[in-house]
Amino acid sequence: MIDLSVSLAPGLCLKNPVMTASGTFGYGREYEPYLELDQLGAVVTKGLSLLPKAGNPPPRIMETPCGMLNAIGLENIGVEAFLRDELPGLKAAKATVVVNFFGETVDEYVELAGILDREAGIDALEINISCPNVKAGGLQFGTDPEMAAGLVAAVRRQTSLPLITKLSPNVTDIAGMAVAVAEAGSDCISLINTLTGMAVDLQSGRPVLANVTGGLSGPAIKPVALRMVYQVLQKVKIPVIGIGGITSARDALEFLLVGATAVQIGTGNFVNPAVAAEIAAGIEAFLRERSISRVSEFIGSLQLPESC
Amino acid sequence: MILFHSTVLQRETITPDTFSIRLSCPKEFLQRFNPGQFVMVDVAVSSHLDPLLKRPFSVCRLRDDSFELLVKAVGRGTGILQQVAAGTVLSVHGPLGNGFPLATITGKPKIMLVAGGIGIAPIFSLLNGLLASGHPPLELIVGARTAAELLCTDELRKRADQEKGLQLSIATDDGSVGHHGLVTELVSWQLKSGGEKPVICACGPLPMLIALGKLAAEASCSCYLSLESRMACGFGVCLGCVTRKKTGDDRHPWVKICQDGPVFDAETLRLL
Repeated sequence: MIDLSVSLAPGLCLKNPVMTASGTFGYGREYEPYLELDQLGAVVTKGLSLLPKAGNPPPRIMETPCGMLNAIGLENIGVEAFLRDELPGLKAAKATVVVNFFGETVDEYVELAGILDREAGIDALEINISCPNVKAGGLQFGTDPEMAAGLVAAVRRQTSLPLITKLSPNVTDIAGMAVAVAEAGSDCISLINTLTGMAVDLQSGRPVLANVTGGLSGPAIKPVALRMVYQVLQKVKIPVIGIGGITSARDALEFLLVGATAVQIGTGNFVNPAVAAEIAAGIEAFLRERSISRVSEFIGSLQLPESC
Repeated sequence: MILFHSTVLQRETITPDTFSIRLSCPKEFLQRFNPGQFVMVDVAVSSHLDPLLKRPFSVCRLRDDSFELLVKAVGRGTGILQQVAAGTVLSVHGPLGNGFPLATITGKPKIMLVAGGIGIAPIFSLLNGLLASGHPPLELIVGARTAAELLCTDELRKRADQEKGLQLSIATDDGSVGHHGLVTELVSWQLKSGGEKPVICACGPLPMLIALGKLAAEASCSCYLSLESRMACGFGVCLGCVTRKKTGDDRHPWVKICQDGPVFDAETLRLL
């Protein structure tokens, strides 16, 4: 028996390191035809706001080499509908539930954290300070370490739930952002959100996406994500969740090797809706083959050249 | 909806840029399928993860152990499928979305099927479904830019000769065969000629679908349109394929083409 469990915070122990990335897994139950939600480390919901949000007009997506651009614009059903219509089903499926949430002001984040904190059946919160596709809120918090720290501290005061802060890669100093949110009380850090990108259509002479720019995800961004996880781990002691282009157990294991305590699967869920469960099984098979009895022994076992 | 590995059983060139492809599938797929539903098909046949996303296609026809797609090569993914060899194994997800509401449309006094270009694919599967199960009189109107781009016409003509209750009309933009003009002109004349009000079921280019929606509304006919869109997932999670609904508000303006469609009652959409 291989021990795949990992601890992300006091009170947040996952049965395995495979989570789903916000915005790619709906509210969870959409994937029930393809996998058992309780076989995953955790389900991370689509980002929620206080009120339902329409998001951007179409076209919203475009495939790019080994990846895709999206500019959904944080469309979501709002916290009230989530708690009423979605959370009971997630609880019934015995999923470990991480709720991703966002606001346009500190007050909105704080109010939402308060509402989620009072609800039984939510195991952790993930603060989205990093969506590139909305004009207000999100990204400003994600690119300014002082604003990010202020926001995380304010949310921290509002909830005793384990708190994950999801970082944007669209910054010069990712480690500086990580240190700021860690000192402000975040229990762990997840990274990376999408890289901002753009596609244009030569035929029409226009941008492909109605929002003009979008967020790049998929295997194309994996090397950037690995580098950023590595850099953040040089500077913070709290657990890090690696995200970016993971579509196989090998990809996931690379992040664990670098030192990520867990991973999130994003775009890969669109291509193969059963992939998250397959990755969890693949990690176990790899460890068994190597006679490693606990995943925690493998995490961070990267051998660096001596000059580093 | 099921995920399965499918073998390419046959690929046949139909016109320089269209082809049919026959894919193996489990029995369960055939049992679940309703005309108008679609599949997501992996096109990363030679290079893992590139192209990354599966591609959505309407199913054109069911066979005993397989189904057929009718595909127009317009980009990289369809270009790859155009070259794929028999025996290649592809990952397939489906049947997805909602098909045409068969019980509703067969209850009407007359059915008008309208297809523009490659839009014949789901209309062909609907026609087969209707012919197999009994139906009111059928009016089939197909169009293309030119005679060379008309699809399935030999087979459609044969059906029309065999089936008493099926009438076929053809329109081409350049007049090379049939009516010289648009399918919507034929539809408009039919609707104005009086007689029983038909239910319209259509697939084709968006301007055609918009025009049909208007004609149907003016004539107080029901009208079901099969829409297409880029999709990343095909089952309602990526939110990449939304289109505006008629009764939406600022916070809920959309329907998802993949999950709420791809077949919609034209009345429920605001396509312009």
